[in-house]
Order: sequence, then C-alpha cells, then structure tokens
Amino acid sequence: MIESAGLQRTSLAELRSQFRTEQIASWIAAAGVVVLAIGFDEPWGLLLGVGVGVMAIVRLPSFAAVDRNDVVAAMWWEAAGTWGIALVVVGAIPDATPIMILNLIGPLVIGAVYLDANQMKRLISAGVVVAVALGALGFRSEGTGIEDAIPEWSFQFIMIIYLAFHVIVTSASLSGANRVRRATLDAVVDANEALVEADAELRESRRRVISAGDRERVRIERNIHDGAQQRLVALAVQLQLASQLVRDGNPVTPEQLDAMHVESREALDELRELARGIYPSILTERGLEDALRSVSHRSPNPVEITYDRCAELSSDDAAAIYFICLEALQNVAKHAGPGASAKLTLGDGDDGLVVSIVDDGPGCDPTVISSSRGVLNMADRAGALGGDLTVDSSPGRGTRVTMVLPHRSGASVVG
Amino acid sequence: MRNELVSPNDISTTVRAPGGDGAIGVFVVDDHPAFLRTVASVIDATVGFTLVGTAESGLAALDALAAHDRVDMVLLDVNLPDVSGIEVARRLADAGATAVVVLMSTADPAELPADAFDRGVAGFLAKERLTTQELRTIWGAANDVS
Repeated sequence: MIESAGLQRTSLAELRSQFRTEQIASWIAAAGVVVLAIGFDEPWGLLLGVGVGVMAIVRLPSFAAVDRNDVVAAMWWEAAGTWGIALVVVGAIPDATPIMILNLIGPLVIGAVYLDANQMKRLISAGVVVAVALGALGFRSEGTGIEDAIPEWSFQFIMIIYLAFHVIVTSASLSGANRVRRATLDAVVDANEALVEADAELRESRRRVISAGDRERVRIERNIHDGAQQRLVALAVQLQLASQLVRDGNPVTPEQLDAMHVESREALDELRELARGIYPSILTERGLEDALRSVSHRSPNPVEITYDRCAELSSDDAAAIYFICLEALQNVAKHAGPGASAKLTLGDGDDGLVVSIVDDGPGCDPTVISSSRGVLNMADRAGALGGDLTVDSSPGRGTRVTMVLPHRSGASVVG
Repeated sequence: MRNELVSPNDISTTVRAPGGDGAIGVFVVDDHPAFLRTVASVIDATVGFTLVGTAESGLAALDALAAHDRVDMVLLDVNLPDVSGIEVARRLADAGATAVVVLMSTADPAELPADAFDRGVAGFLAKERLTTQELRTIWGAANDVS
C-alpha cells in the first residue's frame, strides 16, 4: 500500500527545503544591497535593501503553512514575498526588469509540483497580473538612479550573480520536484508489488477456504451417512420387525426394545456431536469462555485455560477464536501424545487480542507444521479477520500457536 | 419362528455353517455394524432364510464368498470402504457365482450409477424398507427373472 503519510512528509520536507534556499538567497541579497549602499553612501540603496528584506519577511508565513500541511497557503505566501521583491527591485532599478521577470517564474515552477490544476490556474493568473504590473512599472518608473550611483561593472556583477543564483534555485526546485515524483513513483511501484502479492495470497486463501468448505460438507455428509442415518435406518427396520413380530403373535423382548433404544440414543448422540462440529450452540448461548472450557473438558489432554480481561468480541471473532482453539487442541491430542498438557491463554496485548495455545509435547519440525492443512485453516481464519497466526515448534520444545487479532474500532473493554 | 436379535461378530468376516435344512443362505456385506446386526435379526426372523455369513468390506466379501458354497443370496451394500458393492457384484459375476446379488443402499436408486445394474445384480433393496416380507419378495422376483 502507498504510505501516503510518509510520501506527504517527504514532499513537504522538499518544499520546505526549497523555500529555505530562496529565503537564504533573499537574505543574502538584502544584506548585500545594504552593505553596498553603505559602502557607496547611497540612501536609495539602503532603502532597496530594506525593501527586499521586508518582502523576504512577507514570505516567512509560508514555513508555518508548510508545517500545518497547508500547501496552498504556503505557495501564496511564497509567491507574495518573491513577487514583492521583484516589484521593489524594478521600482528602484527599471533596468533590472527583464531579469526580475524571471523571478516571477520561481513560485510557478514550485507550484506546478504541489498544486492541483485549479489552484495552479489561480497562481498563474496572479503571476500574469504581476508580470504586467512589473512590465508597466519597469517601463514607466524613472527609478532611483542607484545603478548610476555605483560603478557600472558592480551593477553588472550583481545582475550576473543574481542570474546565476536564479538558475541554481530554479534547478534545485526542478530537481526537488523530480525527487518528489520519483518518490511517488517508487511508492506506487512498491504498493503495486505489495498489492499483487496480497492479491495472490488472497486468491490462494480464498481457494483454501472454498476447498475447506467443500471438504467440510463432504465430512458432514459422510458423518451423517455413516452415523445417524445408518442407526436410524437400522431402527426403522427393527421397529418394522418388532411390529411384524407382534402382529404374528410373538412378544417383543425387552432386549429388542433396549437395542432399539440404544440405536436411537446413539443416533441422537451422533447428531448432537455433528451439530456441535458445524457450530457449537454453547458459543452463541453462553459465550466464548464457556465454549472453550467445554472444549477443554472434552480434550483427552489436560488443558489449563486463562481467560483474561479482553475486548468485547463480535460473533465472527468469537467463532474464529473458538475454531482455531479447537483445531489447536485437536492437534495437541493428535501430535503431542496422551502425556502432554496444554495451556490456552486469551487476553489483551499491545497489538490486539492475543490467543495462545502452548503444549509441552515433543514438538516437531516447524516447516512440516506450517504447511499442514490444519495450520493453514487456522491461518486463513485469523487472516479473514485481519489477524495473524504463528506456529512455533521444534523437536523437544513443544508447540506454540499464537493468534493476534487487532481490536476493532469502537470495541469496548470488559472485565 | 426365531425372533431373537442375532449379533454377528462386529468387525471380522464371519462364515457360518450352512443350516442344512434347505433354507436359503444369505450373505450380508455392509460396513455398518448397527445395520449388520439388524439385517441379521430380520433374516433370522424370516422363515426359510438363514444368515450364512457377513463381511464389512468388498474384498473380504469376495474372499469369503469364493470359499463358500452355501450362499444363495448376497445382500450387498453399495458404499463399502474399499471397492464398491457394484464392483463386487461384477467380480462375483465374472467368477461365475450363481448367488442372487441384491444391492442395498440408503440412497435413492436413481442416484446410483446408470450401469449399476448391468452385470451381476438381480435387484435393489432400500435399506430402510428391509422386512421379512421384502426379503422374500426380492428373492422371489430375482428367481422369476433369473
């Protein structure tokens, strides 16, 4: 995903850096003009230096605007200060008009990177107005005669230095714009790669979920067919046989009735067990804690449950946690052996709700575990709710299944 | 009339000695012990029929039937854990068995493969409809057509 906040920070830092370069240039220009004016004893020069300095001060709010992410205001303050300097310089020295026109372009170059089309239209319109004003001022102003008060070579030198500096500042702006664009492109490419990866994982997970659903349906069909259905068929046949015996004048023995009772009771037990496997009624009726304790009581291994203070859970979250714990405890029974015991802990952590199932069995190769169907099922269930599931195991050190489920916004904490 | 519930051995194949009274010998193949017990009761309660053996898988049934010379009728569950009842019927036919083979299932016969009754099968029994009368009817019908 694109880290838009990070990208925005990079982009704003770049903008701030460009403003700072321009600001330093303006301070140096103002100070230089003041020094020259004092050196040549030229009061107009002093006034010009002060004018440039004041316009540089006008530009200062642009930094505060960048700090509060208000790029539009920042650009306008920047433009106001820069264009103000151009007007002040041309007002004092009409000969500087062509060069100062260049000064108008700076804010537009930077603006082209950071502003949208509508905002840019307004800035360009303002730039055109200022350019016209600058031209009119340059042609009509009589100037202060500063350029005549100093040697011609020094005026030309100042203008050349200004031009060189302008090239540097504009190039830096374009270079900064390029960096921002490249950072944006990199972020988009990274985001695309991450999306492609996530998409592939999602497709695989969806395929596994569908496949697990199909397998579950087959399992339920088999269980019904091999279990309750067979018992009920047998019961139907036995009842029919008993009915015929009675009709033929033979008694139905208590043993026969007992056998039928056993069949019906076992059919009921099997249906109940099956229903619990599809969705445990205790989960909806008495909540996750009781449902987990019920699972632990049925487990062949001793299971110690610590159900700590945790956020209120949605039914989806509760069901996912229940089935993950069920699978993990079935794995304990299957792989850790009859001598092993397990600890199931559920409580709030820094990153969300943390559920862990730890056993003290023999453990096994983690690569074998991570590709097992049961673990993938658990990971898919956790992933579907935005959570993460990890399985740590190594020979001789038992197995630990940990799921972290991020808190939902607005979830309340209950004790 | 015998009316006690007969309980064949739960897991292994059982082969009983023929009754020697001219009764029709029935061999039952089903992997569900509960139904096996019940069908044994029905056969025992059916005059003129006797249970001569049971098997809980197709291959065990083929082995037992190959060594058995007193089987007149085979009640054969369609869904067996190894080979299907349909395949067992075909192999019995290939081996030249003369017993009447009746397929049994809890499924509707329409759900069975189209060629289920092509070779070696004389009839179909819906498991829940098994009665002494039904057993006799099937036997009669199979012998009329065979």
